[in-house]
Amino acid sequence: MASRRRHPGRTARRAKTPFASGSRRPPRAGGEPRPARIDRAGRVRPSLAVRAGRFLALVAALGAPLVAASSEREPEAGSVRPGYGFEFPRDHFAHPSFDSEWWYYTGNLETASGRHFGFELTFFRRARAFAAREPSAWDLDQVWLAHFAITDTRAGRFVVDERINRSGPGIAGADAGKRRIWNGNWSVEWRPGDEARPTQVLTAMNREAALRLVLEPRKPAVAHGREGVSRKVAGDPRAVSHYLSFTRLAATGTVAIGGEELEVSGLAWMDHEFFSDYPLPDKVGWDWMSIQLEDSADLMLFGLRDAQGDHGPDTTGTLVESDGGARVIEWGGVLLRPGRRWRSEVTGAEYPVEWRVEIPAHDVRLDVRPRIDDQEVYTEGGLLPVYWEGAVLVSGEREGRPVAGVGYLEMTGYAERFEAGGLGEGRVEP
Amino acid sequence: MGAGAVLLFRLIVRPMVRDRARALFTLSAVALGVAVIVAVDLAGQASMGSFRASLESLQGSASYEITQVGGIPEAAYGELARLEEPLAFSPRIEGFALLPGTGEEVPLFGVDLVGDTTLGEMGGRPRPDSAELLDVPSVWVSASLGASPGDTLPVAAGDRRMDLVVQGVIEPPGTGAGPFLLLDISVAQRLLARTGRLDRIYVHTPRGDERDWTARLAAVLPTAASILPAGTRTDDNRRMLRAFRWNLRMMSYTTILVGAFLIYNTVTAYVVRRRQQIGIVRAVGASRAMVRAAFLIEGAVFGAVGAVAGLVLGRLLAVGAVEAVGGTVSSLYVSSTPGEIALGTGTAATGLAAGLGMSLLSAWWPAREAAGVAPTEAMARARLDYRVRTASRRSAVAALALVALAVACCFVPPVDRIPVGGYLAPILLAAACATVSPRLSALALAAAGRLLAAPFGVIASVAARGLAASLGRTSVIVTAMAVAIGLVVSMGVTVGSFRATVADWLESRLKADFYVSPVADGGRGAASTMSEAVAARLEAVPGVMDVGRFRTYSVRYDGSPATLGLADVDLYRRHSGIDFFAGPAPEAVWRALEAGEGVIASELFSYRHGVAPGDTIHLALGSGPVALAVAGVFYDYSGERQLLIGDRRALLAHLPDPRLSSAGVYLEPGADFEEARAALGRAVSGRGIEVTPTRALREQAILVFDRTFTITYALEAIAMLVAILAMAEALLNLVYDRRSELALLRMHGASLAQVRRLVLVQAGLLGVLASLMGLALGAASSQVLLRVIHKQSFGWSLPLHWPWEFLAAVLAGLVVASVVAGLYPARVGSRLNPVEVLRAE
Repeated sequence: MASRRRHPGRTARRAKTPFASGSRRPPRAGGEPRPARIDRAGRVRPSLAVRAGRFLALVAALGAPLVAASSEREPEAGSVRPGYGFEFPRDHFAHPSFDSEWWYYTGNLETASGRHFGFELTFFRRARAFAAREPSAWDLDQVWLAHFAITDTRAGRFVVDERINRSGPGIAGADAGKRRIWNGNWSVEWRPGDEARPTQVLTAMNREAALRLVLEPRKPAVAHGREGVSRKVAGDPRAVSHYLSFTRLAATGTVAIGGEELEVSGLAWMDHEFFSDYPLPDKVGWDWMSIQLEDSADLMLFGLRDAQGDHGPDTTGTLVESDGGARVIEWGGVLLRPGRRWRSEVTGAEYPVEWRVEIPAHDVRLDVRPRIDDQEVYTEGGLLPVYWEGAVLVSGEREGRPVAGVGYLEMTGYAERFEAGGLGEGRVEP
Repeated sequence: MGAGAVLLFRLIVRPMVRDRARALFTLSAVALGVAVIVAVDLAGQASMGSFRASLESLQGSASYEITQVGGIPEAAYGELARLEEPLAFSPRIEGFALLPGTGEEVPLFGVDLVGDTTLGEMGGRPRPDSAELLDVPSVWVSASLGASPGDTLPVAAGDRRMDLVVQGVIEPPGTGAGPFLLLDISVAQRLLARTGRLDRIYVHTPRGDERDWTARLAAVLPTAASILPAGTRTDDNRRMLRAFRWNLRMMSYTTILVGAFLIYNTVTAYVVRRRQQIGIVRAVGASRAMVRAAFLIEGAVFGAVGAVAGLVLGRLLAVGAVEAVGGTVSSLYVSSTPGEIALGTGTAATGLAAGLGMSLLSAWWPAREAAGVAPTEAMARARLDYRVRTASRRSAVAALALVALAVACCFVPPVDRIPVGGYLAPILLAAACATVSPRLSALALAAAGRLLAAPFGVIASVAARGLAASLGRTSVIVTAMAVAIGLVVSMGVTVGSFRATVADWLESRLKADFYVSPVADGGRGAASTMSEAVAARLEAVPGVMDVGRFRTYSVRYDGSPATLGLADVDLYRRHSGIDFFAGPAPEAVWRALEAGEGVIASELFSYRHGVAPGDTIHLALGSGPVALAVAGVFYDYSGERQLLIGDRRALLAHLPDPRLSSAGVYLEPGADFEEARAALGRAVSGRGIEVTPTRALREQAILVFDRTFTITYALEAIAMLVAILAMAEALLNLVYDRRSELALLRMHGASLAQVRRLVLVQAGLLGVLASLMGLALGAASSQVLLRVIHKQSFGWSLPLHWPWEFLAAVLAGLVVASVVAGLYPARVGSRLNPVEVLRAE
């Protein structure tokens, strides 16, 4: 709506760079727009050009033009700037002038008897410039995607679902007035009260599983990076986002799966990022993790990989102390060493599901292991690219003392090699 | 086995082969009867198939459908989408688009191409792999439209036009889906001017879930929304069509009934003529059962061979019948395109069973008669005829009883809207006719013998007496023809009355000088609309006195669909005469309407719901149920729809959309018609709106009417053909049976010409006799059709109009046809070698 109002006469959409990258999830670069393909029925379909990152996927799946013409960028497009004055609750909700935005909820839950579940509930927003003579609520000026996944560790089962909607007449959105972020009946309600530590209520369901959680922040929101700007690579001042996290949320509620509904409690993590597109030509994917240690310290770590699989100096993160104080980890200050690899039988992608993490500046050494190997986010006929996002167990030592913890690991850009094999066509041919 | 085969051969096969012509007549009659049944059934299926295909294939596996008069406010969809239940929803915009290229009008569906996960069930889900496809007016088309991806497809809907870009071709599962266009909902809303509203929301429940979700859904929907099991609309249409199909079916069975009389006649003829042979085979040891079986087999052979030929012929006739029935369905019910003609086992079995069953049934009595022949009776003659004559006195009583029963049937209420009593009554009348036929024939022939003796000489009275002598079969043939003629006459009278009524009604209803409406009006029930500004532009045209605004909505009342018309009642009152047949004085009705105090209901609405003037009905409109008083009941013949009309200004409070379905333009007295026509055309040009002079509209309506009854006319023609076949066959029988008499006449000096004339006079006598009886039967049956069958199946009251010209033409044609039918038998009769015949005797 905003862009329509600002450019009443234009039907052209806001120009996008081909591999506009996100903050913590910068997509891979270097791709030419793929030629259109011809499907089995002989119909020409535009290929989903990029499968490397979820952000890219947004671009591709929603057809943001794959035109590298950043000069056409409209100056009004929301841009990330240092000293951005965060204001809550406003900044917990949508920033429609920015190209992309997402809200990520992940967490580790247990029943009273110790049965473990992991969950992911993610809302993506993608802006598209769109102008119509006669506006309809169904116009595609904002497109909303969402992922919902449950890891049933005991059953070794991973349930994942994808949803895509336009704003429509109240179908999806992130509305400060309604204090709600939602995509159909997957939603987060923000309860009024302590605006520094707002209670968030998660609801999601599909025909296999349902999740209802009340999340209470144990620490206030953290803005990653310096001056409210999170940088993605060491050398590029354009690769930035505004990136907020609730790193420690006490979760209580229910998980329904396999016909039973279970009371659960545990720790959850929330990420909220918004930014406009920027190019990252040398990267193919990223590895990211959130870690919640027993000693109440939390870690957000990521590194962007190049085609050789090296992070180089582009690793960084934030250490959030038990009192909520955030300390930026310097470039290259996180050593990410991949360990055991697991190969997806569905997509053929190979993921390093175990990691050795070292942060010398803070005297941290940790081993990261998945709760189950198969936590690959793949949906039949889905529009988003394939990535791995799953619950992990963490153990190691910090400042000389043994420490354990829980967390979530995200790995993107590993399925890319299969792109040519038909991923653009709705995945791998058997 | 050997004895049976020999028996069969001697009694059945040899005579059939020898009398090829006669066998052929009988077979043709059976084949025609079966063909008509098959063709009508196939045509009914094909025309039903079409709208089922395009609606149902796009409905997927939905369990519920949500609708609301005037559309569902789309905010309700957001509420549904957020319901914390395992449900999926499919929003729909529905309409019709005109393809100006071909003039074809196709259904158009707006769906949520981005979020609807159930579209996959459609086969070849239109995937917006690139959202850019939704930045241009993209369209996915059914394969039958023949468009290819990349084509530009200009369309018009209501008063709007749009150039759509073809992105793909979709083939929904199942065969015979008609053509359609699939658009994104945002494009469809703009094209149909329905921004902010949805026409329908399908609800998909989890597989295997049997819970009733109605209350849960209703909780977040406007009170005026209706939640129905998915497919209700199709069911409504199907229910409406069922009555129509039943009527067609009953007509098609009448044809086979004529065929049955024919078989009865043929087999009877064989039995009578072969009494001697029967006596002989009985004398040499054949049992009664064997003889009976032999004649039943003969009937079965006629039935089977005729039915198989009928299947083939029926499949051929179906091509034409589909067009005729499709035309009827389109003009009377829903816009539809005929589907594939598929000769299924069901239809084939029906046709075969009808052919075979009728044949066996009609062969039963002659076969029993044959079995009753004692060996000693081998030399007896014409027992059958004797029996017929003695029974004729009692027959009058029986006939009266049958007529009384038929009258009683007329008062039986319809069963599930099928006028069972109404169908039974004409059959009973035909039975009465058959019962009384021998006696009437005897009386008539006796009279004819005396009357004709003077002008035509002795031959004529010989002819009459000849017919009277073989009364058993003469009366059967007269009955068969009378039934066929009765069918023709009753249909003619009914359709003629209907047509005259509609013409009168059009004259009184359509009082405006011009009607203005969107070109793509989508046929009946489709809500193509135009901007209200059109009416204002029309009003500004010089010479225009008034412009009446009209808008229709589909509503539901008491579980069935109806149409609500919003009209400028004051204009109606001033200009048009609506004929009220129930309710207070017209002035009072108009006053009540103008005061916004109620609606007037069409006869059909009143009849179906038992609603009378003074009653109050509740309709779900706009924000909730609205109570409306029924001020009066009016005649309406605009199709099988239940119509309510209310004042537009008063109802806009509930249905605030000001767009119009049509407008009526009234010229000032003395205004130049052609000038006004041109000026009106200019006022609305380029908007997909047409200005139709009322005269043209009336002519169109009558054309549509005739198209509606094409199938009826075709069935009548076939029944006539069968009747004429019956005539020819009967005369041929007479000639064969009376061979010895003809030979005697020749021996006594009758000339060849005299013998020929004898047969022709007999043919004419039969024709006149059958015509008179058929006329009586038809007149009685037409009363049943008009007052019972039409009222019960369609809800129309139709005053009787005698279509004199039609009847006169039919009767004259019949008498001529019967004489023509006598030509061949006359030739056969005159070619007999008297010496040979007598020696054989």
